Amino acid sequence: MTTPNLTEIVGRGTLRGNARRALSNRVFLWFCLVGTTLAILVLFALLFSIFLEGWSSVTWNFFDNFASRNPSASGIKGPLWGSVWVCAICAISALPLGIGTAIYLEEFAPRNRVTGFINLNIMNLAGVPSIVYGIIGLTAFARMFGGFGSASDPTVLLGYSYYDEYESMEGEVVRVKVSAIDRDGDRVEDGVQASLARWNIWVAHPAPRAPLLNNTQVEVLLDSDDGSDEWRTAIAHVEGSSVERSTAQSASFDIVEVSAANAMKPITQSREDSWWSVSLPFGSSVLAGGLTLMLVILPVVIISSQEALRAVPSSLRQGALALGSTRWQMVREMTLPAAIPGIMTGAILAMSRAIGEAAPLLVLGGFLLVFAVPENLMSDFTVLPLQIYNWAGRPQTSFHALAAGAIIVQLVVLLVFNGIAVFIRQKLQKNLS
Amino acid sequence: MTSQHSPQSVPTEGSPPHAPSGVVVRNLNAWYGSFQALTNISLDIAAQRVTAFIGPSGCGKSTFLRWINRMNDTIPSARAEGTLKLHGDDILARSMDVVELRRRVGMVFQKPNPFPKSIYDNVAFGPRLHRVYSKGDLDMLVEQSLRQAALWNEVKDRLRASALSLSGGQQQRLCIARAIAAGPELLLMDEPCSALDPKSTLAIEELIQQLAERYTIVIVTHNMQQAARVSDTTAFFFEGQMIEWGETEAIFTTPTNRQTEDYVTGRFG
Amino acid sequence: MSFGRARSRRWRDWSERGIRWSLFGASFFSVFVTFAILVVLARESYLFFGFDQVSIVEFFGSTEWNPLLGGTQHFGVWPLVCGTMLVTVIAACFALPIGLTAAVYLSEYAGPKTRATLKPALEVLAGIPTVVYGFFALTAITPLLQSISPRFGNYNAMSAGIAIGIMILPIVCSLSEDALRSVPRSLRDGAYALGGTKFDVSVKVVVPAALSGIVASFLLAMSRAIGETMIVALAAGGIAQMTAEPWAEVQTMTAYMVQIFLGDAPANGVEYASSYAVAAVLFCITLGFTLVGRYILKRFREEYE
Repeated sequence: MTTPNLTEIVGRGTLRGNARRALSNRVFLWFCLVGTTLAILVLFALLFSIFLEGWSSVTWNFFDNFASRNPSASGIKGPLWGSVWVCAICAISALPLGIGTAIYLEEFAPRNRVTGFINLNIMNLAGVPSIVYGIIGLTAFARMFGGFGSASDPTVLLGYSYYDEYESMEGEVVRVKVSAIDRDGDRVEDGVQASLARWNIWVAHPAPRAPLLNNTQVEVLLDSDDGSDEWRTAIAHVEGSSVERSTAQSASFDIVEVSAANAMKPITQSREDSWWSVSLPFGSSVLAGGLTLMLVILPVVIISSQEALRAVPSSLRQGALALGSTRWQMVREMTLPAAIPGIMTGAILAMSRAIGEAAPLLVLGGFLLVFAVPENLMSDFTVLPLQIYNWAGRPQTSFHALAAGAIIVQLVVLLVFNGIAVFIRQKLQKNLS
Repeated sequence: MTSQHSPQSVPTEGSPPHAPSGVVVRNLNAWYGSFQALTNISLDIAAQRVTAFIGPSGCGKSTFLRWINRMNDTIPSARAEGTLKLHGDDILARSMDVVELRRRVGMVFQKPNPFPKSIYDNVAFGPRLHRVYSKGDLDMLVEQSLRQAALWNEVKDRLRASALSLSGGQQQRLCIARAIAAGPELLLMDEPCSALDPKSTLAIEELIQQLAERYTIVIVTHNMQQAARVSDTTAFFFEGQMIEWGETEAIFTTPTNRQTEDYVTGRFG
Repeated sequence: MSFGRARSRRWRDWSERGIRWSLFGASFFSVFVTFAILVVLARESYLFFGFDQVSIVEFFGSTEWNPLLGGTQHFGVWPLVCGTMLVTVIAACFALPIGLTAAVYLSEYAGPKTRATLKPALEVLAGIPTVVYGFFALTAITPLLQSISPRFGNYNAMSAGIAIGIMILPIVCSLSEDALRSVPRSLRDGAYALGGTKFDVSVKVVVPAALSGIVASFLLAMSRAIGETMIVALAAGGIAQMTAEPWAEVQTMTAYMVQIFLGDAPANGVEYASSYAVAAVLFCITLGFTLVGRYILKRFREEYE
């Protein structure tokens, strides 16, 4: 063959200068360094500017005041407690669901199309913008597709206590618990009259709905000398036409007589909530908010739990199965304990995402000025990021300082969450090695 | 030809830059952190010959190989002391340009590692790094390299196909073509057949023997038959030390050292 | 004589089955959520197109979006899509190069110690709530831009775009770094052994080998940028217009939804329904990005596993 040999052909090329190649190498290193530094610098610029602007806002009163038109009297008590409630509901609903899903997909599910579809589906859910979840939350939780009336006039009410309130002859108020109140407030005319030793009190009760007569709880409002009113509870015992007294807390009043004549109309009806009271639809309540956030973080919880379970060596599983345990026994005794630090880390990071979410809650309830700490599942609420959004959007710079202060609080909470996650992760790495 | 401590293989002065070179090693010690991987290695690698390093796993033969082109620089804890000379140039010197060194010393790895590029671009990768070629020269260079690697006939119609579409044995020959296309003086092979089936192994072994006419080749191998088949000189490593080296035939038939004898006769390792 | 009573097999089988089915129920919930999303968006969009003022042709054909002006309402979605794209492109121009170079640095250059400090810093950046970036855009980036050029208004696409860029930077960086690091060491060794400098190895071998993973990380980050709400609601403004000028005020799809749900639009009015249609468009776009990104990522992983 007449072709020139290889070394001769290699020599035909013009050498690239080594100095130039070294230079391009160095320039590229600097380029990368500058890129990385820029990313870090941006983080510091952001933190620094916010710290500078918000530091003065973070005082004790800042935590103890509700939002106000007056910047100097404004605080984050409402949003702080709102965040606590919403995140608690979110965690309680999302973590069991998410971890259960992960356990099913990793430990139980056959490797078939259905499983593949569910996995793909979870991947896609993770990419859905959070505002879309807000819309779903609004439609499915807050409005319930309009199937249960409106939030201001809910169809179904669960877990509430209802009272009729009456005025005695001496002007005292007596409350009688009833099982429910008609939505239109209609009263049945025949009732029960009770006369007490110190007062004559007429207690009317709609007979068809609640049995007042025996063991009915009667509440009496007592005027104390210091001016604070206090509800006391008494139980009415009915024997024929008269009632023997029995008091729950004090003997300062007695029920002497009950008669079925002279029914009175209650002066008011009142409703009292327990913490678990629920009405359908949920409206813009903490329950709806928490469940909406659950939708947002569910895919995150599932994916991180799946990764944690996948990291458990399969030798552990085979060992458990070889000892004759069922799948669930294997999961409970072997896989879950080994994966729990990883699952916890993922769960904490998911919760830190939930704490920072604003968009879905904004859609759910708009921004509400809240002047109370949430008391039950149906309470109105706002959360820290929403309060930050509200303050940041105002033109006055004094509100910007408040926003920056709230951001500092938010970031500190996040840092604590991240710190715990890192701590667990490091502990996990130690245990594994 | 080569015998123990013969100075014969020191490269002759003034040979052209692309001529095959040998390596002179004197009192080489190497560490990973505090672990001493190589102790007092001294030997000569003759030019235009095949030198085989044999020994059990972890004996330091691969470490030694990776010092010849300073691939160990990529491991932060690795360091070495002693004399390691390529054509008179001190490989371990601080002033040694590793980029230039690796251009002169090609390497083929245990597992075929073609880049996820076309066959052509794989072969042209090295030449393009170091020199600027005209299209015709580069085509010719790629063709010659593939021919020397005995792969040309199989791939000439699909040079633009992905290198990953080749079989394992073809991939390894592609890696050899890629290494020789840069015009090395010395070719290092780190167990080049351990990931291949017997048929591909045979092809590579034949190729090594052909290449030995033009290149200096150092091959690390687990397989003693392979060392016996392809190499001219063999060095036996054990626990970081070079126990014995010499003519391959001598090492396999009349080893002077007891450990060598045990190893080559299959009593351990 | 026997020690210990055998546990009832029947009870064990039943409880096993019960647990299995309840776990399956949990995992099916996610499918149900997807179903709910599709049903809600489809149903409400259908209702939206049922209004007299609206037609599908106008929605996808007109370039005028004017839902709140009683008499002259126009529902052409393009200005919102255009605003979203403008902000997203600005974010991408900011985040992709910086994120990629930072990823190359972390994966190819940084020592283990540097990486151990920089990666958590990026994670912190990823954990910051987006409303904080919105605040930063409004109070720091916008004034900075205005000091550079008076053309920038109080609300502008540039400021929101940069803030979103900062937001997606950690996503780009950490996903790209994952991709770069999953390139097998043997390829780097091969390139070094041919006499490549670090630059040659990184740019000519590692980055091309990781390209599909990098592209996937870009797509996933873009999908996040498109769906971002709080930053644009604070910093981008509220004028829906077709423009490519970075100093202009634009309204994105998400910002429009916020405007509707924050305002007092009646719950059965056309404006209100329009936000569902916009949400459906947004959902489809991000779903497309996510699907393609995941597909590429899966192919990429298969290549090296």
